[in-house]
Amino acid sequence: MIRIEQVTKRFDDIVALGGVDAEIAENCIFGLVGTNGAGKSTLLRVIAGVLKPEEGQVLVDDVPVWESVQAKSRICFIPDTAMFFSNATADVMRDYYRVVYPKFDAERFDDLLGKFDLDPKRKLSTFSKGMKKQVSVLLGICANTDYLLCDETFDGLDPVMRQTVKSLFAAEILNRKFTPVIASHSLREIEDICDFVGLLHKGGILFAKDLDEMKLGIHKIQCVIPDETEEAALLAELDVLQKEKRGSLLTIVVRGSYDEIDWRIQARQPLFSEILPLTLEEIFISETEVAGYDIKNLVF
Amino acid sequence: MTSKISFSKLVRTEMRQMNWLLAVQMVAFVLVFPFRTLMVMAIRQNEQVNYGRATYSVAEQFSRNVGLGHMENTGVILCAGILCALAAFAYIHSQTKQDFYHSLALKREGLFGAKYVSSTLTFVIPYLISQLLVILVGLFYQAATLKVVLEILLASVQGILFFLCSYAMTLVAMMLTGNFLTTMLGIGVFGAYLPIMNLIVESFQEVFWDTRIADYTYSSAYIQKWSSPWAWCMYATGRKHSGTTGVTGQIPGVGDLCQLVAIAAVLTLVALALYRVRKTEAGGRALAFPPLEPVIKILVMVPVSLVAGLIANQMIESVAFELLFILLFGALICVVIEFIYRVDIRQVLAHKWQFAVGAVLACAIFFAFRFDVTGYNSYLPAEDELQSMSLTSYFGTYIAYDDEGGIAYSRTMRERLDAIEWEDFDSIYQLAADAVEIEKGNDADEDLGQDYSYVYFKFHLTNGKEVYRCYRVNTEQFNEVMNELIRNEEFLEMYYPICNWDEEIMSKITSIYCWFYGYDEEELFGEPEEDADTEDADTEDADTENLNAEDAEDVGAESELSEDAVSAESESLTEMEETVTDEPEDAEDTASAASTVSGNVEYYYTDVYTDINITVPVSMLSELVEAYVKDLKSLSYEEIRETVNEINFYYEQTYVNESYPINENFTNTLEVLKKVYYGQ
Repeated sequence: MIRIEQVTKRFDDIVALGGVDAEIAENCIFGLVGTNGAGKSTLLRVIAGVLKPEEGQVLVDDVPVWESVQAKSRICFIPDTAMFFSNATADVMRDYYRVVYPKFDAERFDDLLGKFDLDPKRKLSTFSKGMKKQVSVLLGICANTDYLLCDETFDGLDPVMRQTVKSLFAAEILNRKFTPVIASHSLREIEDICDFVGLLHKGGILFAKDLDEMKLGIHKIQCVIPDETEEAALLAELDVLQKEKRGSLLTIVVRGSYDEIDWRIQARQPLFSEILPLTLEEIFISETEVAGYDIKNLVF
Repeated sequence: MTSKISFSKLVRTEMRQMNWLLAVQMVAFVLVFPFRTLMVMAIRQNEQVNYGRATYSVAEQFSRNVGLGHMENTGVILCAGILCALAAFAYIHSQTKQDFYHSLALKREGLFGAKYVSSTLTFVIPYLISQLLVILVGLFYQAATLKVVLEILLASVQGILFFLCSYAMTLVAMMLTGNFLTTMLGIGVFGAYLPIMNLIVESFQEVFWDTRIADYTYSSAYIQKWSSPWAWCMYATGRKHSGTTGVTGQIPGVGDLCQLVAIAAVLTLVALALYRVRKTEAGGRALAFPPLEPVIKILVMVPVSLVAGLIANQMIESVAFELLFILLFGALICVVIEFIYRVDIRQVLAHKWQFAVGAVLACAIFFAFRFDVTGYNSYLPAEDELQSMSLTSYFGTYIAYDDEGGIAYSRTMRERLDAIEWEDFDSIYQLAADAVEIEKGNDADEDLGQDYSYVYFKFHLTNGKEVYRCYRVNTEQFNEVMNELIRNEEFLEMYYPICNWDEEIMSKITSIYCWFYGYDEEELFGEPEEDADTEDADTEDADTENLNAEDAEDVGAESELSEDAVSAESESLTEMEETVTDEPEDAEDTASAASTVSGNVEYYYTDVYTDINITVPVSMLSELVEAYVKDLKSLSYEEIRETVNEINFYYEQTYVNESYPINENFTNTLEVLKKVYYGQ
């Protein structure tokens, strides 16, 4: 487990991270979302031991990560812009990673390169942005570390590759002890893969929760209530987070248990009522509004 | 379970990333070392075979082109040090690369060590290969003696230490800075700031401290040597020529190499310490440690302003003009530095307080020198604080020359003053006091008029402090004091050590030359003797033979004189005879410079004057010295000092010699010289 304790990081007068607390459990996919400048990359760098926080610390299984060979040997960091040596090919990078990540699986890397249709002998400088991203993700996965920190990993990948990489992550979690931490400015990119999500805003983490837990307490319902007085009374009774009405069709996102919400709707004699699947955005609305933020201005 | 990164594997992998650097250095070193040596050897051999020209033997030629003491080689090595450091640690200026390297399971020290070792090896491998190729070139020409090979190997060790010094200095500059431009400026600062500061201080002292006697032997060279790693390496390179004994008789001793090791080690530790505390986010900034910004700005601004003020002073000696230059150039450099710091033209005028501090400092230093606030130029201790005094001048004094790496080196004024310690110094003190009074006045030039001499004083204080000054004093007053002093035999012996020469000293003297500038023989010696044969060119050989025979007898009579000395003198004379370029008559006819030798007298002609050089046989040393001392004791100081002519006494086949004044007033000495001149 990675534990982030009161981490504060400043760049001159700018507070990039202000007292961040979070926990990243093992064998799950942790999504770190936030707007540009929220502090996602800075937090990943602190976790990776690249940056030293002014205050607080990051612990990997209770070992402080800063200048710890033991803790850092369990982490591989894929930054937003991958570092490749000048004139290097995928083969050259593979050989380097074999030295700096002793558990690096070179055979698997070669195999995956073939599956991704990437030429191991071609200079990486001639690759497209997406291809470079693929190489860096493959290097990170094959490093065989317990934690893989990915900064905007899906940025630049086409939808097919995005799905493929997600599948790879899922397969890794099934096969071994593996915890990817994926930072992204877009919820939509990671909503279908993350088990846990942390939301960063202005250097502070607003929350970090299990996505399934969050889904249990919030529901999206579509219904038609002919009597407007009844409808108004219903809305007043419910803890409505979001409301939209098109003609007579009312769509609401409501906090609370499903049984109680359904009972109240049925009591108002609707012509039609059904539960709709929730997007991550809608879940975030509820959670961040609780925290006193207007999420629409933060993320979407 | 922790999987550790193998250090040796990491070094090898890092080296693979720097293959280009290894290749570049290999090419450069092969060209600079073996190829150049091969070319020089081939050209010299060609000259020897085809033209019969051979200044040196093949072995000598080889040894002169390899091993220690080559500034150009040192320059290449120092550049390699900079290049390797930049290549290995350039990643600290890149955010992307730092993300990668600093996320590896390595401590900062481990990564530093891997980079350090790998980049050092990219130098060491091609460098040693090139040195081995040099030895092969030597073997090919059958010139690689064991001694030369040993020197090449030790030069290689020294070269690696030079590399490490330059490399570590560059690392320190890199750790303090955050981008390539400021790194390069930082390297320049570490390499040249203190030498330049030293130069500026020397210039200020030279310009504003009129009464200073420069101390070339101690502090200046010492400060220069320690002022930067580059300076130290250059100094160490030059040590070959200083005659320092070592394994091969020329190379620096172990102590010198240890000092280089110490410098490289200290700089490396400083670089490592900075690397450990340096923040990752410093990459891309001008300076890695922002608190240093004002310090560096002021440290650069002050010397720039001082130089600007000095230039203004030399152009127009006006306080307003000097102040204008100081402020103008100070402001300019502040603007430039701010731009380097911020890379934003809108912020170039930021931090005006730093300019203000720098300007105040620069003005304070400049005008303290300018107006001699410390009273340096009018220094005079209280008489009761003095233990002794000494004085000397350029006129009528003897000059001793020492051998500095085969080059005659005149003892400095300080050294000359050190040789005289006079405790009965009332008259000297009064002379200095009067000089200081004149110096204090604004109309010193008017007070002195044209009739003044530069007199060098040393104040030896009772607290052990020694202060040296050069004051302008009235010549008549100086002569009076000197007349009084040289009448005292003890002072005379201090002032002219020849008065004190014993048999032991004289036994070390191997040749004596007496130079008269712009004289003719009649002026010096009157009418020639009837049996004098110097006018007849046919008698030259006979004279030489006589002289050689005479010297040979001396060897038998005076066992102290070595055969080598005599034979060397004889050879010297023979050489002189061989260098005859023209006859005197021809010289007069053509009115051009020429020389001729007649016996032990050599003439140098130009169209306006004739110089006479008389070689006095060592057998006549006692007689000459006796006559000279007799003259010194009888002549007044005015009679001694008015001359540029000299007698040179050379010691044991070296450049070490002592030069004494002589003129037509030295009648007893001239009588001895006359005998030599006319071959009697």
